[in-house]
Amino acid sequence: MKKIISLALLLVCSFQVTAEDIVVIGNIDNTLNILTKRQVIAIFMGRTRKFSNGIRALPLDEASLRNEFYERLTHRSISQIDAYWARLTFSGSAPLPPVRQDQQSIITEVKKAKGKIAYIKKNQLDESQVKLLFSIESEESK
Amino acid sequence: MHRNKKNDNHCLSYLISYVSLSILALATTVGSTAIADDNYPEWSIKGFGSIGFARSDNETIGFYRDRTSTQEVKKSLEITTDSRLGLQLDVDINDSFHFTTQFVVRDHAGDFFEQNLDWAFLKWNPLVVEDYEIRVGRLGVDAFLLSDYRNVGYAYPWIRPPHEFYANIPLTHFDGADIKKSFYLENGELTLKLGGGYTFTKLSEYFQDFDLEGPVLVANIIYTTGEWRFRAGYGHIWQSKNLESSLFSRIRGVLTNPATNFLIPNLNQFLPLTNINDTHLQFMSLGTAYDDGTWLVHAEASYLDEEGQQIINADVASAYLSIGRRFSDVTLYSRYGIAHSFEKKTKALDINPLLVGTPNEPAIREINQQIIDGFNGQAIKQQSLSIGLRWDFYQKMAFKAEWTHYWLGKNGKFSSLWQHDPNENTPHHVNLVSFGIDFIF
Repeated sequence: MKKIISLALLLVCSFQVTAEDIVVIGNIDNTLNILTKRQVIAIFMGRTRKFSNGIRALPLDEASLRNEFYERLTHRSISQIDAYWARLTFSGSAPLPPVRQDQQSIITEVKKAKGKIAYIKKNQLDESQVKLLFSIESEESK
Repeated sequence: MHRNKKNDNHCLSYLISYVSLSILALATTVGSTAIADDNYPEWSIKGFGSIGFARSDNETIGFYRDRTSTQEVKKSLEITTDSRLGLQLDVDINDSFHFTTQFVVRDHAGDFFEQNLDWAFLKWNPLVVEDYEIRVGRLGVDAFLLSDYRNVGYAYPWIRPPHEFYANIPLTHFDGADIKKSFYLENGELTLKLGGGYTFTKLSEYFQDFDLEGPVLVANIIYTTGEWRFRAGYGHIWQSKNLESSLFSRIRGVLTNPATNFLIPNLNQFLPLTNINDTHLQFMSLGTAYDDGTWLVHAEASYLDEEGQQIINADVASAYLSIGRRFSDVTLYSRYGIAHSFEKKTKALDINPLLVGTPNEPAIREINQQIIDGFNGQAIKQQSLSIGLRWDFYQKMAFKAEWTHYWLGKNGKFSSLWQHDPNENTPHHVNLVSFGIDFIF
């Protein structure tokens, strides 16, 4: 049974990896235009609560992309990321980013508040609505 | 079982204040729903747990996870020691206010609800003065590397926090306030925290029915980079409550009894040693943790300084070093731990010279020795070596297994971190095998 589950997971993951690049998006009114990989990691790993321009950073997770995003961003397995976040969450030092179930609600939410930051598939990106801050693909090809 | 009415009363008053705090938080939540961002309040309930089994190869002494545990581990498989279930409710009331409460179902001496409520606090991040955090309520005693997550097995590689270090420091929470200031530096984050309040921790009956109770001060400095964590911590407790158990009234009875004072003249001079109120307990610690994705290292050292009394414990230095390596989903680790007491030895008194040479002399010497052992025997002299593995076999779940060898022989007839039959000498070696599953949800 476990094997089947792992196989299924593997299949799903490999499809995602080949499917699409992931982009990190922010609110259009956020004065930032670009984030470095280090800054993105700091925000999504709970190491900083604000952007370099002083705006409070409010990261969001997207359920179906979460594993792939963290693994590609940090090059660590999702179980390592989960154990890391377990320490932060259950020691009260940083709140886990709230999880949203689909990309559309992520985009809607990022549009609403200045400090929101999230990730979506590149093909969902509409730069008239949200701001592109970082792309995992472009970082990796550097 | 010794129960104290006063304790019951103040447990109750604490519980009432937490309920009020929660209601206040909820009220603020409801009140704030109309404000600007309609994503507030943001609720979440998360949890963590462990199902753990342990057994040792020795029936003489029993292993305790820490001084608050009531169930010891001997030769039969024991599930109570390491199993636990934690629930945490987080409420983002708005941009600045946050409420958190954490309850951990576990084997803990004292009142189940009051002692297992580890946190219930309101956190305020003032928007006007950035990077400050102020918390009020029931808070964790954040003086050590694992302080705030010692129950969250999923967050560390081992079965349980290192015994030599954490078993002797049962303090997990206090009621009060703390303030934290963060500095975001080029390569990491530096935080300073200062907290104070009142603590009440019930220790297990076996550990002489004594409660850690009194004003507490906690401070720490933490520097975190991507891979490293460094921290220095300090804690201070002003023990305000004396020992009130029947055991201690018996000891005081023996020390003041005219008959025993005839057999061993001046025995009553030991009476002050049984008073632990108005004594201080200080702990200082330095710790570091490293994790680069492949290698995991944890090291920590502490010094526990006890002023004014010695019947509960002498000063203790303790340290551990753990090195682990990940091989895909499996982490292998080895850990060494040491705890060593610096005893302020109480010298035995001479027995009454009139009785020397009488047939009763051996019996009186035996009593004399037992009294001195009682004062001098609360030492911790322990070392251990562990090997273990963690296997992340499924998302948010890890299987763990650990074997630990303890060296205890130098403790004489007592060893403070173990349940002990005072008629038996401490065994030199004890092996402990543990395994279990940690999870988060």
